[in-house]
Amino acid sequence: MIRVYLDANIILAKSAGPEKEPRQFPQAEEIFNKIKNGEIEAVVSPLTLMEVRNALRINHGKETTILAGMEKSQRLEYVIKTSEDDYNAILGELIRMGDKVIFKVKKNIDMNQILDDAMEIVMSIRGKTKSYRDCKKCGTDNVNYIGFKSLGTDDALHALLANEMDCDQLLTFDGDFNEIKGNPKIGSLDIQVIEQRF
Amino acid sequence: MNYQLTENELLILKELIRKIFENYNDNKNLTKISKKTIQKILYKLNKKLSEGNPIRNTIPFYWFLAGPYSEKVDAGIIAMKSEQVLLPANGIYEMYMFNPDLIHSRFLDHDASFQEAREIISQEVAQMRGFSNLQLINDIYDEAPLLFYPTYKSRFLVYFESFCNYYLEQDDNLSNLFSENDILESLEKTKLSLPSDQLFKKFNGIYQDFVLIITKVLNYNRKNDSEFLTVLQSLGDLANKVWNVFAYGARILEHHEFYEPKVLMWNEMFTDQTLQLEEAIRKTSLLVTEVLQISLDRKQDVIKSLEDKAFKKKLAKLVGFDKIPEYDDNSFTRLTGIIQSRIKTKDFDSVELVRETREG
Repeated sequence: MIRVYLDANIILAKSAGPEKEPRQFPQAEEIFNKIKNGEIEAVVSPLTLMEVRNALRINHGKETTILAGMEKSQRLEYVIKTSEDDYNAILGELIRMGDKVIFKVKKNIDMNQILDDAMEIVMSIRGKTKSYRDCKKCGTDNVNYIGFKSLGTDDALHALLANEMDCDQLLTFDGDFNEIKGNPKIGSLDIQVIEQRF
Repeated sequence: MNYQLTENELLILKELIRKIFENYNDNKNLTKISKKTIQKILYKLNKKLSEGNPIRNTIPFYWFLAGPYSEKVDAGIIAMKSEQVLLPANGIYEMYMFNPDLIHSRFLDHDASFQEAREIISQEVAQMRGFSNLQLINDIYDEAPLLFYPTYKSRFLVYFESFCNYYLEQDDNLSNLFSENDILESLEKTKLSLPSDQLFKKFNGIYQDFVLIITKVLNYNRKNDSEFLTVLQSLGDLANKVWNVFAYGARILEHHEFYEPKVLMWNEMFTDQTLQLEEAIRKTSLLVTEVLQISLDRKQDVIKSLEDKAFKKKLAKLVGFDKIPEYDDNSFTRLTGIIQSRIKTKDFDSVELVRETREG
């Protein structure tokens, strides 16, 4: 049975469901079916959990209509409370999946080595400049701008962590991971960037 | 063996064996003697008879699986059994009684050469008073022409078989008489006593691999694992196989001239057996590596599982559980869309959200 490291976007896509996440949900569902049937063993690292938590906060922070109707002092509490409820619900179900989902593989992980390797990986990737026609952060369309894009430092950390946690594969929806595929620092880890359905 | 004795040879053997039984009965009040003991007493006789004594040619020996062995003596015992001179008796080994009607009648007149034999038999049997068959064997092995006989068969193999029985029979009443160190020390001594003759060159080479396997297994520190017991079973068989092959070579080096016509055939058998042993050792080596690695991996998995459990306990508390909840198959279904109703944003995009998290 292969051991698979799950990226945060897979957990979020499954938790969001088919209506809210139609592009990524089917593949996420397929992955969790494989976990359930014992075809693969899933690893959810503490780094992934932190990202799920923060992604939920960012998402609730985008609820501008609701937040606008609140007192300024209540907004942060709302974001933290709603995202915390979401996170606890997700984590509770992941824990109930028993040995099919692993959170910790080793007692000690050599973080110094991981950081050294991550630095080398990030330094070795040049990245690219890209023209954008809309802003994914604020949602504004037709705002032509040019930006620099490269492998995120966290992406390198995930790949190295997956390798350190004896995973055979890293599954993600994020195409940025393509840049790290086959890098000698990640050993035999197979990075699979899953195609989005639409 | 199917050797055809001459009439005179059979008469000499009958009389020699009768004398053994007669002395045994007189000295020890024992009426039963094993075939192996008869062989060994006659071997001692052969060694002590003066050079020109013709009886020596009636009892020619070679060194084989259980020490000195004579095909002529074996043929004599079979003939005596069929003539009901020897009567089968109950016992762990192949035991015989001498026909009570014949035990006091000589099968031939005792000339000078027989008188010498008679005296030696009397001395040997008298010296054996109180000795067990095992002690007689050890006694003979200690004087063996090849040092490997006592070091391997009388010591290492005895120690190792006792060790195997202790673990394989899982009997608490069976005490483990020999420690791993005892066995490894005895194994080291067998290496020093391997025959230096060119004939054993290949055997000696593969024997080093056998020593490595035994050392690896004895140093393994989880001896109650089922994997370890599987390996131990195979090793017990292999240790006996090693002995058999050695014995096939030993008789080529240590035999009476009577067996000279058989040496060519023995050589072929030894070569063949050595090749088979090489293959058996290679396979066992692979088995040992594979099986013990599985056991180590399993141990690693247990450690991983414990680490994960401890961390899950911590996470469970953060979520509000008192302890780690039981496995629930429905959790996979419940996770689907668990936050769906709480998502108020228009375009929920998991990939972009995580990217934003990473970008800060």
